Amino acid sequence: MKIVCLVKIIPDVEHFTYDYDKNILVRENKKSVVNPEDSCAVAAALRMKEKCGAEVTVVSMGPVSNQKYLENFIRCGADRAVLISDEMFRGSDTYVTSRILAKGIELSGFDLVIGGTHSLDGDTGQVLPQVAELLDAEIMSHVTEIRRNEQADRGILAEAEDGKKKLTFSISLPAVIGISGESGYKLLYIRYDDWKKDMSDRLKVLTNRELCFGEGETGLAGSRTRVLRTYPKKFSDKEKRVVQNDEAGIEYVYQFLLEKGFLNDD
Amino acid sequence: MIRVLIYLDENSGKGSLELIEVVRRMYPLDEIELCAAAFAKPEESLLGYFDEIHYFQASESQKYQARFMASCIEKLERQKHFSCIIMAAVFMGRMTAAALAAKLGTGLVADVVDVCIEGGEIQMIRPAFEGKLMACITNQGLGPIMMTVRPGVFRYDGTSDRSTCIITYELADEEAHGIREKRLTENVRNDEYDASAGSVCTCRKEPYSRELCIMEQGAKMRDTRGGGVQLIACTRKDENRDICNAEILVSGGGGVRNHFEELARLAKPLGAMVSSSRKLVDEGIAPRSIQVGQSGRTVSPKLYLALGIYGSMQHIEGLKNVEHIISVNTNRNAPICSLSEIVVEGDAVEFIEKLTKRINQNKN
Amino acid sequence: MAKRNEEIIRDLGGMLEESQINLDKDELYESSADRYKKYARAKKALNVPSPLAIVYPYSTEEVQKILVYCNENRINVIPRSGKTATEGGLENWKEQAIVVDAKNLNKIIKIDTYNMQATVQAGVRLQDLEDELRKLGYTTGHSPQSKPVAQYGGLVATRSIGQFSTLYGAIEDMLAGLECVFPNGHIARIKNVPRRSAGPDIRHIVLGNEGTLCYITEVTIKIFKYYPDNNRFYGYLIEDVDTGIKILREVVTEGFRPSVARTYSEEDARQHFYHFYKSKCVLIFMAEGPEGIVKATGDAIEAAVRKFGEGVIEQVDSQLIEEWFNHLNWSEQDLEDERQGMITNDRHDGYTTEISADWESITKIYYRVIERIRNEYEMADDLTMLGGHSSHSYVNGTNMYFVYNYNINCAPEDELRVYHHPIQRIIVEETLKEGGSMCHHHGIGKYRNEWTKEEHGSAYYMLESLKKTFDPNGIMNFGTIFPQKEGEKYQK
Repeated sequence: MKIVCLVKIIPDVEHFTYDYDKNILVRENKKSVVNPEDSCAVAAALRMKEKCGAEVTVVSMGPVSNQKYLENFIRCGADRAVLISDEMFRGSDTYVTSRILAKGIELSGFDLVIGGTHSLDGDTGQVLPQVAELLDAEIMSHVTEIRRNEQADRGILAEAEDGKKKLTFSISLPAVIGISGESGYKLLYIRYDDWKKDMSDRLKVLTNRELCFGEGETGLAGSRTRVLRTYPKKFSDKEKRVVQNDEAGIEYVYQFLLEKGFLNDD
Repeated sequence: MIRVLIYLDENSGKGSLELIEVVRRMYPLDEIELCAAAFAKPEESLLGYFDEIHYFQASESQKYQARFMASCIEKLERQKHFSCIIMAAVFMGRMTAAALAAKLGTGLVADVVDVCIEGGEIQMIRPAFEGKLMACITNQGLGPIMMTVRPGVFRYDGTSDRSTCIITYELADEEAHGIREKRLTENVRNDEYDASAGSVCTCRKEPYSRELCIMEQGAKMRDTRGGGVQLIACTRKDENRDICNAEILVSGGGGVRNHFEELARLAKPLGAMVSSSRKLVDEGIAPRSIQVGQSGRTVSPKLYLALGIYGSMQHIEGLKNVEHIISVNTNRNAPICSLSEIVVEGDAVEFIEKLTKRINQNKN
Repeated sequence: MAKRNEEIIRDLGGMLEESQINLDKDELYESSADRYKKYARAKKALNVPSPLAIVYPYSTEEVQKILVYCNENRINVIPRSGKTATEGGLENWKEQAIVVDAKNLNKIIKIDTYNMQATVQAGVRLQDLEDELRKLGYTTGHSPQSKPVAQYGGLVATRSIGQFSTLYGAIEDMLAGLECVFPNGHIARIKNVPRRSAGPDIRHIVLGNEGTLCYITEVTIKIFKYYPDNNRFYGYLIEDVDTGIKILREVVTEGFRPSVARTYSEEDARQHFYHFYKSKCVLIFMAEGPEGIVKATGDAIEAAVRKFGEGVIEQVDSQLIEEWFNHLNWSEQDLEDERQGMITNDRHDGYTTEISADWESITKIYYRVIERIRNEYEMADDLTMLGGHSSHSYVNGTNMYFVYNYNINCAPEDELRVYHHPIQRIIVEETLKEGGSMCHHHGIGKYRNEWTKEEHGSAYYMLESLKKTFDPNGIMNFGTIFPQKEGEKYQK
C-alpha cells in the first residue's frame, strides 16, 4: 500500500504574544512547528506500515527551509519525503493549495492519503476534502483510529467521532483520511545521536517545473478567495467584580450566567 | 433573482436556521429566493423559513458520503445558480462544503463568524491562529459565494411566513452512485403538513405551481467515487467524558473537600462537568482524570467556576483560553481571584446551594 | 575475586533481618537514580544499573557491618536518607551497589532546651523534629523546600540550606556534633561543643561529603526560640534584578539579618506571584525573632527600599507574601504529582542550577547567563521559563538560583543532554569565570563533577587526599563529587 502523509509546517501559534498597547499580535522571530495533527497522521501511517507493510511518503508544501522538518519524518521511519516548493505557489488559498497538493500526490502515487483534520494556523479543514475531490478518492475526517479492513480486498476501517457519536466506517481505497488530534497517535522521538543524520537523498523538492501549472493558476492570482486584511482579536481587560455570598451576590452571578448564555435550558 | 442555498445539517436541527441570519446580513430577505438542501427528512418546524427545501432521501451511509452529498448539491446548483451557498461548520458540513467548492471551482471560507458588505462586496470574517487573529476574506471565484459558518454565533429572530415547497429526490441505490429524481410533489398546506406523508410538498398561501426543473431521470453521474464510505456502526461515545472538552467546568479545591459531591448538584443545571484541583486528588477525594493543572489536564472551558480553589501557578497552568472565570473563596486574596471576572467572597458549599436553588427556582 | 550478586544478597541476609533488605524490582529501579533523572525515571528510560538491594540498618553497628563488608568486597555503597537529592548524588553507576537507607535510624534521641540543642538519628525527618520543637516553643530554624521529606543525614551530607538562612544560617552553622562510620568500620563521634580551637574543624570533613567519605548515623544541631507572632512580611515590585540585589546587599551589609531576603526575576516571579507581580521583578523580606529585632530589621528594610526607591515600583500587601509562604513546601504528594505530570505532559518543570558569588559578580553572572542561554542555546525555543532568584544572602555576597522549565521534545533518554546539561554548562562556566561557586546548596552530585577540579583549583589536593585516606577502595558513592572516567558514559 502506498500511503501519502500531508504535512503542514505552521508558525508556532502557542508562542504568539499580544501587544496590548499597539493592538498587534507579535509574530516575529517565532519558530515554525509541525502542525500537531499532521504529526498524528504520520504516526498513524507509520503504525500501518509497521502492522501490514506500506510505503510512506510525506508530502508538504512550503518554503525550501522546511526541508529540515521533512527530514525528521524520514528519521522517524517515513520512506521518503517530497517538498513542493515554488515562488509561484506562495499565497495560495485552500482551493489552489489542494490542486497543487493533488498534483504532487498523483506524481508520487497513492492508495491512501492521511493528514491532520485541522491545522492550528488556518484551521479551515478544507484541504483534505478538496484533495479527495480532485483525486476522486473517498474522504473522511475526524478519524481517531485507522486500520486495514481484513474483509475487503482494498479497503480500510476507520473510527471517527462526531460530537458524542462514535462512527465506524468501511472505506474503499483510494481514500483521503483526516486524523483527529484525539486519536492518540504519536510519533516516537528521534534519538539524539540521529538528530543530524543526513537524509537529504530521500527528500525530493518538486517545483512547478514538475507540476506544470499555468501562470495565474496558482498563488494569489489563482486563489478563489482573497484575504483583505487581518487584525488581532480585541481583548478587553475584564473588570473584576467582588460580590458577597448573599442574595445580591448570587443574583449577580445568576444574571451573569443568564446573560452569557450558560443557562440555556434545553 | 438572487437565490441562496442553506444546507440543513441533520444533527443541527433548528440550529440550521441561524444561517438565515447570515443571509439577512447580506441580502434583503424579502427579495430573494431562499432554498435549503437536506439529506434527512426536514423537521416540520423548518417550514415557513424557506421557499424550497430540496430533500434528498439519503441512506444512513450516504449521509456520511461528503462527496456524494456535494454532487447532489452540485446538480442543484447547476440548475438554480445560487448566489451563495451556506453550510454549518460541523462534521459533515465542512467536508461537504469543501468537496462542493472543489467541484464548482469556487472559493470557500471556513468558520465564518461575521459577514459585512463594503463597497457592494460581501466580506466574510473568520478567526485564525486559534482565534488570536481575525481575517476578512472575499470570494474571487466564478461560482457562488461559499462559506461554512461557526455554529452558535448567529441567531435568527425573523419571521417564518414563506410558502415552503419540499422537493423530494429519491436516490438511486448506493452502488449506482446516481441520483434519480422523482417528483412526488403536489401541494399541501403548511399547517397540514403530515410527517408520515413525507413525499408531499406544501404551500400555504397559494397553490404552488412553479415548474420544477427536473433532473434527468437516471442520468449517469460523472464517473465518480464517493459511495465507498459505508457506515458500519454508530455508538455513543463513552459517557466517561473528558474534562478537556467541557464547555463549563465546576471545579473544586480544598474549600469544598468535605462536600465534593455537592459540585455535581450545580453542574447538572449548568450542563457542566466537574473537575478538581490537585489537592482533592491527593486527598483521594477526586479521581486524577478530572484534575486540572500542570500535572493534570489542560482545559479550555468557556466558563470555569473555581470553588474553594486557591489557584497555585501549577493549577493555573492547566487553564488555557478560558473565557470566564468565577471564583468562590473565603479568602479574596487567593491568587485565583486575581484572574476572575467575578469573585464571590464566601463559603463555596453555601454558594453551590444558593445558586442551584436560584437556577431551579427560575426553571419551575 | 568478586562476589556474585546472589552471594552478596545471601551475605546481607546473614547480617540483617529479612525485613531490612529490599529486593523489590520496582523499588530498586526507582533507587537507581534521584531527582536529577526524574523524567527518564518516570518514563522508565533510565540508562544506569539498578542497585542489588536497599538495606535499612537499625543501628550504627549494623551500618558498620555493612560498610566493612562492602569495603572488603568492593561493592559500591550509596548512603541515603530522605531521597530528595537533585544532582545525581543518589544515582548508581556500578553494577554491584547497595543503597543504605537511614529510614530505620529514626529516633529523636534528645531535645535539650537548656543547652539549646537536639540530637537525632540520621533518618529523622526535619519536619518531625520541627514539629516536636514547635510544641515546646522552639524551632530548628531550618526550612528547605524539602522540609516535609528530607532527613537529617542527608541534610548534613549535602550542606543543605533553608529558606530562613539569612537569620539562622545553613546546616553547617547549626551543626554541633555528629557520629559517622567510615568504610573500614571506624566509628567517629565528634562532640558537641559551642566552639573550640582544637585543630581544624573536622565537622567540615563530614559536612557536604555526599556519602563519598563516610556514613552519618547521628546528628546534634542547635535549636532556636520561636517567635511566630512577631513575624513581619515585606514585598515589593521592582524594576530589575539589579535593584533587588542592591537592596538585599544594603540590608545585609548594614548588619541586619532578616530571615528571608529574596529577589526574583520577573519570569521566576510569575511562577510564584502571578496574582500580583504585574510582569515585574519581586523583592521579598521576612523579619522574625524577638520583637525589638524584628522592628529594627523592618525599619532597615524600609530604609534600604527608600534608598533605592528609583527602582522600586510599589509595595505589595504583606498579607499576600505571608500566604505565599504558607504554600511553599513540597510534600510527598507533590513529588508523586510531579512524576505523573511529567509522564502525562512531557514537560519538565523546575530544573535548577544554584550558584553563589560576591556582590559585585552576581548580577554580571546572572545577565550573562540569561543572554547566553537565549542566544546560544540550540533548544531555547522549548524553554517555557527561564529566570532566577537570589534567596540566601551573606555579608560578602549572595546566591543565584537559576530556574528553567521546558517542553521535552526528545526521547526521555536524551532529555538531560538535550536540555539540562547545555544550560547548566553555560551557568557553571560563567560562574567559575567570575570566581563564584558552581554549587550553592545542592551539592556537586554526579553531573557537576566534571568541574570539581576547577571549582577547587589548587585546593582540590586537599579534597582528593581526604578521599584517598577515608575511602581508599573507592566504595563510597562512586562518581559523586570526584570525577570518574568510568562514569563518563552516563554523563555523555
